[in-house]
Amino acid sequence: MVPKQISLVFLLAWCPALWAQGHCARVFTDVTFRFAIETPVPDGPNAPMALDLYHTDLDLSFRPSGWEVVVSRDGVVTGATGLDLLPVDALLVGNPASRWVLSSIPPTFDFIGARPGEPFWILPQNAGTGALPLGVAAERADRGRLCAWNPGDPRGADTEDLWFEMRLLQVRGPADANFAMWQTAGGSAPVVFVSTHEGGISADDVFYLSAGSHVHMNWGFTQLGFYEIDFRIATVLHCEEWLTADWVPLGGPFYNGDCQVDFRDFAHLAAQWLNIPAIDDPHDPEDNQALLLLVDQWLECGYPGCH
Amino acid sequence: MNTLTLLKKRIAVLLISFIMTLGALAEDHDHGHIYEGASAYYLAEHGDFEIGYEDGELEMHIHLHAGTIVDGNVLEEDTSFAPEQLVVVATETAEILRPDGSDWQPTGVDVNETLWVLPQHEKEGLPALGFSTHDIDTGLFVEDQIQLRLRALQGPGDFSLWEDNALGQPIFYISSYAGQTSAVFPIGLHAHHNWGFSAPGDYILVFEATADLVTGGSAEALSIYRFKVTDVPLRLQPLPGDVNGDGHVDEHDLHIVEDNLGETAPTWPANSNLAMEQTHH
Repeated sequence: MVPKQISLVFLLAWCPALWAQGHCARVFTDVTFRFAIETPVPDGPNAPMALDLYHTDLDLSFRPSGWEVVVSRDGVVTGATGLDLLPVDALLVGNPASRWVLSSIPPTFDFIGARPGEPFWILPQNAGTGALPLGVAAERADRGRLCAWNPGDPRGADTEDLWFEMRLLQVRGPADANFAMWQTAGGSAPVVFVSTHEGGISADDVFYLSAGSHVHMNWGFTQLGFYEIDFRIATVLHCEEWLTADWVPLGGPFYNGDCQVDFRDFAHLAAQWLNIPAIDDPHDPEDNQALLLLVDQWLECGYPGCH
Repeated sequence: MNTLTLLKKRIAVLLISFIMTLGALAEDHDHGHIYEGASAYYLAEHGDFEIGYEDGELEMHIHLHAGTIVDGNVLEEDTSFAPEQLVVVATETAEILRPDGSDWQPTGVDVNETLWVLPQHEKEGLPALGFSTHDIDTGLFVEDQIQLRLRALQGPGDFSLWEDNALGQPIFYISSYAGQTSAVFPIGLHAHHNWGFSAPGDYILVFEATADLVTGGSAEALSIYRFKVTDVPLRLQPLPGDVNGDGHVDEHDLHIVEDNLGETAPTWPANSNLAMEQTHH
């Protein structure tokens, strides 16, 4: 077994002719953003940081180490360093300036789910209103690693481009609350990306952003309180030819092909190496522990299971 | 040296190369490439009209991001242009019908008449034009604000600059139709607005930026911005033989050639107007 595995490693490292051809693969991650709509913000050492007033973006990118989705707030004064927070550490605030009450709701804005005479809240598309101006950005995305694809979405994403997809999965919030995302359009009807009022959560509740872009939109909430909103962020990644450990052409089912060299790939490699069933779930604590042990052995003495 | 050691060394070399590349990219982050040509058409994707403050002076330039479409080509890297180097194009994709309501009067067109708008949100096939004072430090100007004033407009129609609120109601900053020619913007701003034109044709807008210094005195800058509003597909290169510029080489062009056969110097129409003033059809 040992000479065969040494040959495998040798081929992986030094033989470009045997490396996989580049290909494109869809990759995704699920992320939860948290909002506090005109509600007292929790305090304490583990409380998320409340973000209000200053320009803030939900920043989407895929780095060599994997997905990087952060809540990015500009510096409070120009030239000051901004702030990047993991979504779990950020609480996006809807303050009283974001509250609206209308005696009648314009028909083209029925999708918000607001009711005449009752308050509803909007984090607005435009800055300078006293409410949190919240955008979505993919300016840090490494364009060279992405594959062009066409989502076929008539709301501005029906051409080939380096798209990031932001798809609504779930909204957990106050009872009877609705959530919407839209852009107003210079005299045209609003472009609605998400509306839970219209038909609940559906395949239409999705927004596309091209790599390098940064846009702002309106985020509507119909009840005060806390919201946790789950999105699936996806893109199509170009798997480089040198990403050899994501593709092993030497037989056996350990081609993973998701453009990430991670424990899933090692799980397959180790299983083949040790001639055992694949350790399939690195997120399972026991499987994860087993994999860590195998990695430790491999680095120490050259192959998994060496002691 | 065994295979594992060789592999570790190769990974180390790759990491070092990656880190050095990051450093090189960071040096060019602020301004990117500087455009050195005479003129270019800005056709689509994200760009910003930027106002900066350097060496005691305000300066105005246009910053186009990588991926922007210029002269039909995709910009490979962020590029800065002097305002007069760039023609911002609004094609027929920019056409909307003016909505009902007196809120929209400053656009200069009547209800249900055509208005050309480069919208505040990204729309495929159009420039997504932002406005930025993002690079100016706070604390330099009184109340941390800059005044932008439309000093002159040459073109076939009216120009307006506005923002939509969350429910689509316009908030006008500048309207040549309404005589609203100046607006104040905060330092640190990066925002997108709607740029409206009431008729097709070529426009020249002269903008002046001024700010009062907290130390006394003021700073100012003046720049020319060029727009082309067209209701027909834009031809990026001239079609040989298309004398009248209608996209076809036909008997109409031939008649023009016949009528001018033998002429040796251009004549200028008697009713031409070269002054920097607003003209209407």
